[in-house]
Amino acid sequence: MDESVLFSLRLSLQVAIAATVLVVLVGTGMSFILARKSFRGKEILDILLTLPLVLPPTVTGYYLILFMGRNGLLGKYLYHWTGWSIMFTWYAAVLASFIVALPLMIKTTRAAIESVDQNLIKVSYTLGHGEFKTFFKVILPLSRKGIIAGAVLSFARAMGEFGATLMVAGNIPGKTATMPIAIYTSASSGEWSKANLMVVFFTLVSGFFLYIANKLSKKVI
Amino acid sequence: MIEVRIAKDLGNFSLNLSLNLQKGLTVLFGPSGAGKTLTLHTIAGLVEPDSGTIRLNGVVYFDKKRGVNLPIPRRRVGYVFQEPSLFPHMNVFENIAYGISGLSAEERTRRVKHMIGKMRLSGLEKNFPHQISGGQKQRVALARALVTSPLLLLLDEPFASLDNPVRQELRLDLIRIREEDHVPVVFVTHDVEEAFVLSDEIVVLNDGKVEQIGSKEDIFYRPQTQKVAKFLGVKNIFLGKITAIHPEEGEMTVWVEEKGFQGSIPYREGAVVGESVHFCIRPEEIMVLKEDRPIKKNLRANIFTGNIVRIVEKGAEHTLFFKQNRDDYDFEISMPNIAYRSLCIKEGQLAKVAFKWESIWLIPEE
Repeated sequence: MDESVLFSLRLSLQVAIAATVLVVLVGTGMSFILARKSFRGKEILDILLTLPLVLPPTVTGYYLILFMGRNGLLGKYLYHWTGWSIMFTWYAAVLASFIVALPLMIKTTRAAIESVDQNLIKVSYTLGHGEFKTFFKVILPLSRKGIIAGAVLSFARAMGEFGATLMVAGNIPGKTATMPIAIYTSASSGEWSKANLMVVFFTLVSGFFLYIANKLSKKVI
Repeated sequence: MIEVRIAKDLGNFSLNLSLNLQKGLTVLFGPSGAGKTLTLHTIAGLVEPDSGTIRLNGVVYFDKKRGVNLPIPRRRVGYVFQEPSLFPHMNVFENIAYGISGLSAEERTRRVKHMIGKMRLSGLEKNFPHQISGGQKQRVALARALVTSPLLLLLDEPFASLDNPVRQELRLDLIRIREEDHVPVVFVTHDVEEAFVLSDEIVVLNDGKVEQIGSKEDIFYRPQTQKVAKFLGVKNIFLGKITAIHPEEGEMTVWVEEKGFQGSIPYREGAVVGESVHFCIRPEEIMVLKEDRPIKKNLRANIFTGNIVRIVEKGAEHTLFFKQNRDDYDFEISMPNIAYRSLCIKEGQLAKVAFKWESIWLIPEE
């Protein structure tokens, strides 16, 4: 098999796994805050976090360039202090996948946390446990189905991420060309046999992960 | 013990309370929407009052002016809801052990096991909440609260959703626990029987305010307002107009327009002719007279002749409905089965009933 095909598959998995880990950690925390806390600007935060779900990925990618580019709002400090820029590295692909998958995680997890019986949380408080312990012993175990569902959706979304990734990580064969990007390149340059191979491969791998995810989510029921 | 002086405005409802509870088991009694649950919530810290203070055993839990609002986990107040609210992902043992902290594993297990024995839950340790009955669930909920040795136990209609026999069992469990642990309890209910059986003290709440506080005898036999009497299901409440007063005999005569009868009731200081009074007579204080017996002197002022329109058997006693001439019945009379049988009375039969004016309670109400 073509070396570049294997590389792009490995990179796609690597990016999707890294992005999913981040999404689960940040997304669960954010969901808890959005579900159980009230503060000023909550609505705005909710909208900002959900926007990547409806914006074209190229717009999300553009924003990421504005923020993280070498001359970007945050990126310039990063470059100034370390001489390094995230742009056109596989980390940028992770960042792009993270941003577009986060709303899927938050939507499902927030709903799961909100559906935990309020009385159980109150009971936990009256039994002497604070918010931290209540979160880990009651809220988290009771919303695990939503969290798993969110993680699966996020992984699938990260695997398939294309537009924003192309904007920030570029299309560097052997460096940042994830499978969807490699498919695009092959198709546009007429390498049909390579494209066919990758498409079949991608479909099979995605199908396999969905199967695993279905099994996992059934187990917790 | 517990002092509550709070106000809370919820827009369409406002709570305004001043309570000082010293007794072992206080029942908060009142109709739905009286503010019973809200009161418990403020004591537990689940709802913050707009103003006032809450103190338990001298410790300030809440003081608006001084900016004190003790967090819920530090109040050490056990709370049991109407629904058992057990953690569905934990078994019975884990549920009960949940609130114990700062103890060695052995001590923790020992305490949970002791509590499981005490609450008649042995053999169910490994069961999950969906595998046990409603009554068992509520016993687990009680055990879970009690095992943490709370300073106060708040029970919010804990037995309301259970079948009657199970409810009675759990009441007995609660009485037994109270005898062993002496944990003070505030118990919310709108069940008259429950209030009577369990309470050392009753607080009658209505519309966010205290209607009356007192022992069960005070509340049931000497209601201070018409509302209290109504909430408690007091029978035979009448509105009469005073037609004559006899202070020297401690008695006065009233005319009850609604029912069309005249009666004799105890004299009240300052009463004047023409004034309206509410009074009530307990169903067990009314006697059905036997034809062949001489009538005692103290019954003579209140003798009525009419029909027994309906007879209802209620366990150990019979309830008779007596009517003179108007629609509906006038008096509800209750008597032990043994007395009922010796009367040989039937529905529709003519009867003479009487009561002592001393057994009438005048509802003071302003």
